[in-house]
Amino acid sequence: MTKRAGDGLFGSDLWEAALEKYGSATHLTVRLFDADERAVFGPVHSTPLFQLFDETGYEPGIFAECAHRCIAQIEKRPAIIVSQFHGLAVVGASLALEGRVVGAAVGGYAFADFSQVSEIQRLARQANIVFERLWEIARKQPPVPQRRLRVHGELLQVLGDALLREHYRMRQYERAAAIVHSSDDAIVSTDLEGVITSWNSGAERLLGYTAREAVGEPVTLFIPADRIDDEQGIVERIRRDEKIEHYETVRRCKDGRLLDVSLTVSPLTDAQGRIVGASRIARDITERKRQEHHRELLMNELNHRVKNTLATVQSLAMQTLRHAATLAEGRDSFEARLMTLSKAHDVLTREHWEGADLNKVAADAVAAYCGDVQESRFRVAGPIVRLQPKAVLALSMALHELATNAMKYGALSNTTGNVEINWRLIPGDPQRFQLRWAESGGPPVETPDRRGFGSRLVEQCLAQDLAGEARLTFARGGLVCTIDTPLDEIRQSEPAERHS
Amino acid sequence: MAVAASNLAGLRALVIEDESIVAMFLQDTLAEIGCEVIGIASRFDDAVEKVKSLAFDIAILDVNLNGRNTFPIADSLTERGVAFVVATGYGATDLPQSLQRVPILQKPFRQRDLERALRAALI
Repeated sequence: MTKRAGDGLFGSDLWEAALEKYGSATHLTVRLFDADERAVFGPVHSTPLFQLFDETGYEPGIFAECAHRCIAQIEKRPAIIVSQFHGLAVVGASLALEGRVVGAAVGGYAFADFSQVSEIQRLARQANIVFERLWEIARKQPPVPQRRLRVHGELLQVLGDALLREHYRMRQYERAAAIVHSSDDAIVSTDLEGVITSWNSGAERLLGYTAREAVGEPVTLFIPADRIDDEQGIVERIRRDEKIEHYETVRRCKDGRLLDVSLTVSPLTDAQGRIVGASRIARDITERKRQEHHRELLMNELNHRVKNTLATVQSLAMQTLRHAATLAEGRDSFEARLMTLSKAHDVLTREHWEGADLNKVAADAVAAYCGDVQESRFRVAGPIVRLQPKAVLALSMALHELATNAMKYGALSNTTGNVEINWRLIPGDPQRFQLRWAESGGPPVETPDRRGFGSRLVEQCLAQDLAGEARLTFARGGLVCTIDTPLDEIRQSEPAERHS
Repeated sequence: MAVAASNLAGLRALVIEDESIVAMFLQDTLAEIGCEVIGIASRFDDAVEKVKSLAFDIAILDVNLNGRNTFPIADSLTERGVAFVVATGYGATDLPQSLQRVPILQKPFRQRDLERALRAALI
């Protein structure tokens, strides 16, 4: 199963004898070169498979190149060059005799069989033996003296290692290529001039250009005009062998849309370690940026709300302290108002700040007093109205003031008085909302000469918050509070109506 | 401090604030300082209307009215050469270039902070 070619120096019988003696080298082809880089032996093929290796094909060039590099080594130690070509490993070893490089042996091995380490090692061993033998034959030397064998012993080790390394490097390369191919991220490589040399499917999806359209074009194809200067900076750093990580910038799609992206750019090197280009990975961060922006908006809103609430509490405190007859009364009064404010917020939080039903708000206001007063003394009635948050807070505070006043001086201060809370909607354009708090059965009512905080809260603050009117009437039979406002000012809008 | 307070006494003030209980606080505090509150506006359109039609010496402007920012109102006050201070629950750094020189009150604020801001606005 061997095919031989050669010149008159090397008879086929000698080759066969060498192979017989040292085991069959499968999938192997060999050429020998002298110090002047002339082919002096081969190519010799171990299987017909290697008929590719003839004078007219690529291989002689590869072999000659490999030989050249081996012979050009200025060190006396044997050089091993391993390169890859179409699934073959081409291995060259410089041959030294008494410290002088006298030639090179170059072999080609098929990768297909390199699934096992032992296979590689076996072939390396065989190659070594074959090289040694061939050299003997070529030089018509007697068997190689011991010292040269030692040299070749090193060769064995190094050959085996080199083949292994090359093998795994190729496997990694294949794996890396598969990863790049299937990655969702856009992975683009460019040369040092900024010309696109590869474009994966992730890049096609992200930027809209097909590989066909993109490869060969300058990278500025998808860089907006105001970011071109950044690109120069990137190239500079790549030339200095610097990696750029998570660089946030903007890129432009084929359809003109701008995208926020995060770039990671690494230098690409060749086998000699020279920088030959850049590998760019771009990740679409539009969504992340949108969420960051949204979060910032929310944070600002939150801060605004907290500060306003504190200012409200400040106002309540000031008002309460101003009107309190004693410190103890002031404390109780302030605490009660603070609790009302807090509970009103609870209602809103439960409803995810999408407003609350007026029935619920009124019922809560009443419930706060039902510990002290029978529930039946309150009569609450009206159609379903969903209030917006601002109206919920304002009404809660106002109802608290009215109830507190009723407890202290009004219909709830004796055992027989009642409170009626009714509301209705008046059709029209605009639709109006009217609420009425009417006390009856309480002690005789006197109009106060001074307006307390409660009155101001109802007639000024509530009216302002509801964008309507609120009036307190100190009727003889009992206090009456009437509220009149356009329904749209207090009603929670439907999701479709609301702007984001 | 009596001398300082008299600089502000009798000034007519317009309050633009959407939190009614805070507006009440402003109203009372301004009264303590000796100012006369000639109007309170809590909605954007109402504020624009009052700025146009009422006579006043100084305005206290909330930067945000029910979610709507009042920079246009600030601009029109500046254009008319009317003194004003800005009250805000947001950080001072979020304000635009045009408001960088206006006295800022961060909520909640004390009476003396308000006095200081009013004086600064009147310079």
